[in-house]
Amino acid sequence: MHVSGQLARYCDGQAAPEEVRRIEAHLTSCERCRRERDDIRFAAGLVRQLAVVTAPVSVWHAIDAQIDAPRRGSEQPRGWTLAPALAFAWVLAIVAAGAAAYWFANPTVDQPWQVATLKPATGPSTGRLAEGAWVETDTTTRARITVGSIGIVDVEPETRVRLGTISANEYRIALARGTIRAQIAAPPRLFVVDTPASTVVDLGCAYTVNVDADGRGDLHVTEGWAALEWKGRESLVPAGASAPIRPGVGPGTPSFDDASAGLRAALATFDFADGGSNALTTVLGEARVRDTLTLWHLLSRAATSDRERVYDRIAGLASPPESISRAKALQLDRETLTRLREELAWKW
Amino acid sequence: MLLVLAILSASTAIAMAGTMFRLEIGLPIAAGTDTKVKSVKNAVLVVRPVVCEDMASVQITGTAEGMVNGARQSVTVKLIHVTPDVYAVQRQWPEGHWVLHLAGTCSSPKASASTIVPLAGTGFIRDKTQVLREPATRAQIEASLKDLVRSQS
Repeated sequence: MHVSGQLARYCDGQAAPEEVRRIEAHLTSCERCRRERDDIRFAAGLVRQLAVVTAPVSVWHAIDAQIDAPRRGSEQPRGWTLAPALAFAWVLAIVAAGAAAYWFANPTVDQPWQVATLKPATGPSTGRLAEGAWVETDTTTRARITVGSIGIVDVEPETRVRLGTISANEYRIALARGTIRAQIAAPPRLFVVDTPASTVVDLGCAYTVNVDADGRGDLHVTEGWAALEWKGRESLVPAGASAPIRPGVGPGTPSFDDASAGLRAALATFDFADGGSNALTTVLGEARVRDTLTLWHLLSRAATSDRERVYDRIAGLASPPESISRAKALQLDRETLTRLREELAWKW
Repeated sequence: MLLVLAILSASTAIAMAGTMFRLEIGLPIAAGTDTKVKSVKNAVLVVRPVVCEDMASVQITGTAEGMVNGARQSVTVKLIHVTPDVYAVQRQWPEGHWVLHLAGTCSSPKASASTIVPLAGTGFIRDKTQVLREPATRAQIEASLKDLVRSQS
């Protein structure tokens, strides 16, 4: 019989000694309950990171005044008519006590990352690691990092990943070299991967990112969207598309995987070999409706003198709605560009 | 004269086409990257109504029409709201040859539209998708399915 119902009390340190022995005996043989225990401890770790706020002096004055005030008329029921300030103080006290209880009862929350490793020689093993720890695989080893309750990251052989910070609004890791595959189901921007020359920001998706020892790599998205960011430069990459990462440059321009070889070669020249207008001409000539993904990015990357022909090629291929202003798009008005991208996406 | 009239009529129809109520189909990524977009796993496509003054009144229904081992099947399709104006369709039919028939109505201006979308693999065939400014007829759906079966056999 599973012990799900007792796990919260157990993790809180509230279970009686006999109950603790029984739960721990069960946990040694039940993977499902171990996972539930880990989830509870992980959630407790997040709670622990909530700041404990000191009540303002005015609150304490209000409490003192409430205590010192003569009892009001007996028609006023007790209990549910506490002054708001007093109620606020009670809430603060309860939160502080809860945080303190978790702090002392759960030493493992200092190791918030759950990592499973698969070595052919020894089989699978699981453990918890602290922020700042490294996950490193050799030629035969794989690993899986559990990203809280929002997803998983599979670490391929010959990969080095540093576990970063976990907070209520961010899970962060760094890929030094190798390949990882992430599957995340969470609001955008909650999961972030730093690479030597770009930051991969999850926008609700599944993707593979690889980086070699020199910091060169690629992002390939298989579901949803991801963003590559680097020093103010951003590439938005949807499912079915990829974008290169180059040291010193950051993210290259994304393209769909079924784009022509000519377009992809010209794009690489444009991005990383000062291809300029000549390379741009080839990209524009090779582009299909679906390649307006690439052209949309080039609007803000091409020389000002080339911007009009990029927009006109987009318009020729995909006919944006009249409500989208060509003039504003050419001025790189952020809102207009966002609307343009959203409309183009319906044609991909 | 008749030729001129015919050309004018066709030109007007084409010009009007972009300003009439219709259902637009896209890849799941067309739902966007906004935080308000509800994530839907394994969506085949997304659909949105366009050119309707009262978007809240729009009603969209769908059926998957297919051939499975030589037998004709029809499955009512559940649409999932991913944003106020965008719906996702997940795969909810067995292996076989399938076209998706989506029908929509707008109350202001009062209009009906439909689309017939041939499906392939985990997605749809855009080139063969029919966007109609009126309800699809049974004959149109059957013809699309027959064409799909022929092309996939």
